[in-house]
Amino acid sequence: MVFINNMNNLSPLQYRIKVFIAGFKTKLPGGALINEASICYNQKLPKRVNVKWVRESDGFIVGHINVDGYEFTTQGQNAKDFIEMVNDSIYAVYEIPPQYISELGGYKRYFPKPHQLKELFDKSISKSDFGFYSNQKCPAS
Amino acid sequence: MAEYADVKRKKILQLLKRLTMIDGFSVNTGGKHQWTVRHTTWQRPFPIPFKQNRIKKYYVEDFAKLIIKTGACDEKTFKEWIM
Repeated sequence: MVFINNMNNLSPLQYRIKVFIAGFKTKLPGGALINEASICYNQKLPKRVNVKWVRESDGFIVGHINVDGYEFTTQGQNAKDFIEMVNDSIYAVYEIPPQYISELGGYKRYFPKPHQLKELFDKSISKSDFGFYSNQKCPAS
Repeated sequence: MAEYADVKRKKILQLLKRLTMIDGFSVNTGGKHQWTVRHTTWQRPFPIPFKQNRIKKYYVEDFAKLIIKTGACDEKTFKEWIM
């Protein structure tokens, strides 16, 4: 786990370096990810998430995410960034270690349907809501 | 609920440091670009992104609602913390 408990280590830069090193270590011999852990994390993640989003005048998109009744918020600088941040916030809420993220489908695990994606990229639409579906199968299958 | 403005990442970090001093709260890092705030009464942690330099007002409003609900502070105090 790369989680940092020390309050002095809440620096985004330090955390990014730690994540990078952890990701690099998994590529070294003997540092591979544990398959059983991947399966567990995959089962832990929800199949579907509901997102209500609002586009602000400066292009930022703020989304209210509802996963099994638990609500939280995320934001993105544009549509592409927003999808990435929705995925990243779900990994954070479900406490998935960063080195497992790419194994579990990366930032395209939860993806809207094509017509919903079109709405998200259409700058004339200021708000909407939709479900993000998991497109990831179990790593073992 | 009062109107909030966008808040800079630096101010949010100061707020998080303050929250860790309050009983029941803990702050960590998670995902690739998130701080996660946890309270003993919450089912799951609340993520706050540090990827962008600004946290939008809707986001601040949602976070404020959650914090105020725990009784850690009132709206006025929260506003002072992020100013």
